[in-house]
Amino acid sequence: MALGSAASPALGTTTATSFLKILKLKTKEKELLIRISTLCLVYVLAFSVRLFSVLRYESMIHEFDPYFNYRTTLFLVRNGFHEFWNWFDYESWYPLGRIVGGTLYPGLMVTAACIYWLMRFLRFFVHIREVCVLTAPFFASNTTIVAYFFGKEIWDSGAGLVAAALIAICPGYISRSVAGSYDNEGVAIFALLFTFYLFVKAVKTGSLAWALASAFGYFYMVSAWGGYVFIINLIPLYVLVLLVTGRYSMRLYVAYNCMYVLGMLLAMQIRFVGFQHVQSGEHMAAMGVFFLIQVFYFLDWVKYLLNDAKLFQTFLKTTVTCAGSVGALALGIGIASGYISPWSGRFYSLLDPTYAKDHIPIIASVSEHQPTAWSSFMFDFHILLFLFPAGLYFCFKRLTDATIFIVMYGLTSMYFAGVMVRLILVATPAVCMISAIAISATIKNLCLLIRGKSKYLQSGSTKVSSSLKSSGKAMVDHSLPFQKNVATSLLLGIFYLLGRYAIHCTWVTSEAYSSPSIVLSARGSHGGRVIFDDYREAYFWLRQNTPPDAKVMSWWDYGYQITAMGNRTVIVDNNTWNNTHIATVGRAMSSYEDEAYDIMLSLDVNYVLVVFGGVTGYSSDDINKFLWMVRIGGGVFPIIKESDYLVNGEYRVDKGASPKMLNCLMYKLCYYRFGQLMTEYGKPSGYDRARSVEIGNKEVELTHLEEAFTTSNWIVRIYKVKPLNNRY
Amino acid sequence: MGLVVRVGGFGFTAKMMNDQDLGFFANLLGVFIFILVIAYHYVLADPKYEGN
Repeated sequence: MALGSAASPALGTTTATSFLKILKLKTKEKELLIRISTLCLVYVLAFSVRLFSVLRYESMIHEFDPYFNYRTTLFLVRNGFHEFWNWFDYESWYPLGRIVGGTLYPGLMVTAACIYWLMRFLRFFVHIREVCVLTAPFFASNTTIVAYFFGKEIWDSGAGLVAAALIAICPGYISRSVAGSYDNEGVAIFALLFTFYLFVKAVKTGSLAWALASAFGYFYMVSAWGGYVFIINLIPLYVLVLLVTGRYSMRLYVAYNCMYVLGMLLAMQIRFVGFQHVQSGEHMAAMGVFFLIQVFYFLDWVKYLLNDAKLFQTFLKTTVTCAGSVGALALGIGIASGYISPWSGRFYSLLDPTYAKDHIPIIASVSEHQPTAWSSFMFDFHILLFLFPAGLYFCFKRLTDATIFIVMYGLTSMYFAGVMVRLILVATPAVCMISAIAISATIKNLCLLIRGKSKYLQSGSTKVSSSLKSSGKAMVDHSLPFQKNVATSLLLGIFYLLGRYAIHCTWVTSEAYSSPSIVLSARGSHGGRVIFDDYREAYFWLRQNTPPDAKVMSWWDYGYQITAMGNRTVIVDNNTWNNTHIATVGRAMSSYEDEAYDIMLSLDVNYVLVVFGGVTGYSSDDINKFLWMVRIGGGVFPIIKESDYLVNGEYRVDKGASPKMLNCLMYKLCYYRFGQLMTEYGKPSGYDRARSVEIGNKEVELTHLEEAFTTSNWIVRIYKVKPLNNRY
Repeated sequence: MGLVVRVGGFGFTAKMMNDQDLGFFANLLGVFIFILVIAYHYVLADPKYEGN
């Protein structure tokens, strides 16, 4: 692992330059050669570092949401876009169903399908699954190229190169773009950065072509991920800042108007987004700034016509007051009449981190929606965490339209990253870009010191010495003592840090972010790797042993996987659009068996699936999620009270657990026959390894359900709901 | 363990890359890229460079 730290940059640089000397290249050619080869290597590295899970396990889709994306992509390539766009899915949210075409962001699926069709056109007959698995790494590689151009636009080509290298392996981005992570974010971060790049370019040049390109980039982003709301709020905020700081120009006017108007019209073509750009409170900032910039243009024109400062001041005051009043009135009427919808809960929870916990338990229950710990920042950013402020310093030293944008992007996204763990992803490109500026500017300064001195020495010691003598005191060495040595040592230090960063990123990717979640791995007692493939075992059992129209009830986390792999109808899934439906399942799981039976019959449930980690020590199981089921269920059905499942505020499953806990459906389904099982040497039977306790109710008996299947490591347990008794 | 691929007829045996090899490769490439990045800045700092 420490191979990188052993090498020295001076040695490397000398080797590289001596190699270039052999080639007898001019400086410009050397620059081009190193730049192109570095970008190519970065492209390869960004792709290959994301392949750990494929080599360790197999080419498979990871986690939860990607299974839905895979299923829909499969549907798209089999049935075509028209069918996909009008697809009504009967297999989810039984009995409600789901209008798939109108409730998803199709960008990811269409992208994968296009790649698949292109491959087939080129006579590469690959399976659509392979395309889906490798889509995210492919787009991560493309992101590095965009990062290079963006960095070049903001600072210089050196910063662009560093930005590309940093973002290629930054764990904050890798966490969502490893092979198999077939999720919207995989393509969306590319789209996000690309849109920003095109917009900054448009503002810088005032070119209509770049502005139109940024509108199309925005359209792609809207089609790919709900995070487009960040763009449609950041760009107006940026424009507002430019307006307030007196940086209004025709370039800005052209860029923003084109991007906003065309981007909005294009975005409306996505059914899931629809008319939100003109009806939702989250999009109103963009519209407000759009009108504001028209006012600026108008004022500019009037100023030109009036040619009288005093008269213009009066006009300015009147216009600003009128425009402000009309805007406020329109917003007030829009909100009061219900035409403009208020901010959504997710948006509120970003501004107020405690909002979700108090009002929307479904959002709060997801682990990636929790506030970020400092350790996560360190884990995901490593040295970038302290290079980020240094980069901000450099940006403030050279304030331009472009650097103002990246500063704003960095600061706002870092705030959001602090609110929610998953938003580290959005902050990652900004952190990489700003840190790249710090690194590049520092290395450049050090290299200038080293080479400036060497030139002086060279010219002083060789044939030019005579000319030096002739110039007399004109060439006085102002450098500090040991300047070159200090600069070289600092360069070595920077290389050491960058080397450690590369090694850290590889380690984090390998150890933390390459687990598919669907297949679990652990270290056995002899140090060897043990694989738990229980999820797929259970889903394939469902597919092969249950009637095609069977309805399966489980907690919503597993809904997408059951429909994608088990091909069976589920009651709730990861879309979580209907809180009442999820609360009904939560209520069933937390009720006594006979009460739950009535609920299950009302929902036509045939099978119940639970995930249990007591045998293997797997902690992300349903018992550990159970309190969220109680909270979400209790949020709609007040009969369910969290206090009934706690003892003195403590959540327990052993003998001291509350009676309601020991007899609720979830407890019974997880611990059925578990009381007789020896799980660990030296421990009593019924010892739960996930919670390290002996369970409280070992004599679980079921009346209305019967065990249908338990996987080899007991991680997934499936129960059949018995039909109603025909005799009383 | 890496998968062993035997190419028939030639007696040539190729071992497929495993995750440890990939870790080594990624580290090596990562560090090398940063050497190139420093070399790039070093070249740019050439006083004779037209771009400066």
